[in-house]
Amino acid sequence: MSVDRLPTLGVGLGFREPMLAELFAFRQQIDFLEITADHYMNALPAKSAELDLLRRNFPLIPHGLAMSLGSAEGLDDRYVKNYANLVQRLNPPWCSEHIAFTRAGGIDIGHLAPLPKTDTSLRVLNNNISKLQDQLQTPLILENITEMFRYPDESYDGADFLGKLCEQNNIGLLLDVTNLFINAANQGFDPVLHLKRLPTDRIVQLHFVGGFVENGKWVDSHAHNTNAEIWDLMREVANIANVKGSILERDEHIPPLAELIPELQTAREILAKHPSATSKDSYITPRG
Amino acid sequence: MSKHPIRSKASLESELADFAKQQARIAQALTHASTSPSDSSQRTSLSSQRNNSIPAKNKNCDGANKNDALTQWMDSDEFHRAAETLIRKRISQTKNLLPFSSEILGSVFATHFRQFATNHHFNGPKAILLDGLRFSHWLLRNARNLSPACTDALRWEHACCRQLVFSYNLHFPKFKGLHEQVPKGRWAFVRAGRFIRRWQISH
Repeated sequence: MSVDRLPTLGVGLGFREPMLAELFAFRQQIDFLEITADHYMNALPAKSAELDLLRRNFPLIPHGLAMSLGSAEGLDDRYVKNYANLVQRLNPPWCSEHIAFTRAGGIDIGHLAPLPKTDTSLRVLNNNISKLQDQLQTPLILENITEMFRYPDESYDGADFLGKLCEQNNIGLLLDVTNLFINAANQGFDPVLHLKRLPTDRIVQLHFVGGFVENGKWVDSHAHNTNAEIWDLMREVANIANVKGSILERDEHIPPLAELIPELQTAREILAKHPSATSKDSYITPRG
Repeated sequence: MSKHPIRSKASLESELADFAKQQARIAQALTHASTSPSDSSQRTSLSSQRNNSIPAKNKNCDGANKNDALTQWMDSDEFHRAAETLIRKRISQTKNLLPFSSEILGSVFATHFRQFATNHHFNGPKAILLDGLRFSHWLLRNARNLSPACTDALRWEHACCRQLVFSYNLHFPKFKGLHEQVPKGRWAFVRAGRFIRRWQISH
């Protein structure tokens, strides 16, 4: 994967249905949208029409939730096919998923569960990513998750694990700055040192949103404004990576969009400081 | 150059099988803990737990099989947070599916959902929609002292969830929605293919 060849999309929003009513009033302030792929697979006509509407007006990046790339039992072929069909329909510059498992032993957890950072996990991920990439004509990038719990006796730390994963599979990184910050705060490591050990030349996209502290631990709620600490970490990212796109991910307590636009502007200003940052490319939304 | 050191195929397969078992046990432990009635009180008073007698690391996790060696290592504190995250996520997703009902019920919505979740595990490709469908039905059957407006909202949203689960198109003849004042005694109809469901607006 050559990250330099990917277009720069700018700063956008993770699209959620309640945003639709106001979206077009802020068309000029939103460079692109990230859609949840799962919501549009085998969609009802109304949902499909919504996707067409978004596609006509914004560059779209499909972001999968339930691929379960870390499942030792393998991928769900039907899910892979549906995901690949959606990606083909949208023809985006890249598509994304998570480094996690969501399904095991016939149980759908309903959330992203972390993987142990071991060679066995790498082997499972490599197999599953290879199967997924066989179905895709689009570059794949994978996201770091919030680690709800940790495993003992891991062979690698987070940065080494991500480095190996990206290198072995020739994929890009969707760096969730909030997740990195929360893992660092909850597990007691330095996020900046961790960041500098990541394959920064493979960072394609960022996610950011606020979190909150509950009982002394940070919680990734996707429901708060971006915290100062997370902006600081994003500045560090901007110093070392030529990011192609950044997405504000609000899932709950979604305020009027007018309240979110200043956050997009802050992110835009931060990312513009990278030495080789270019202005947003005139990426043409595919139509069909 | 090979990505991994050379290992026998049998050894790799055995390792993979163990890994799959470990994941299955984690999935089971997490989903069970997030819906276990014995955990509800612990979840709601997580902070008091921490202040008083928070289980030490490497103690077995509540909600997991006590004899399960593969979950022995999990930090109980982290495990409860993970389980709490799961149930909160289910509540949030269900609120999105039942916006009118959740608005009317307020904080009681989450309390009811935690009770509902003790017997209804999250699973399957349509788990989010099924939560909405089953919870609205469960509330109509089990919740006491529901206001007429709440009953109407639940019936309406139950039908909407049914539509999403079974992927059919609904027609709403001359029905303006529950957020508007509907004269008492009017009937609402939802036609789904050859089935027609109807109920009388009671407020």
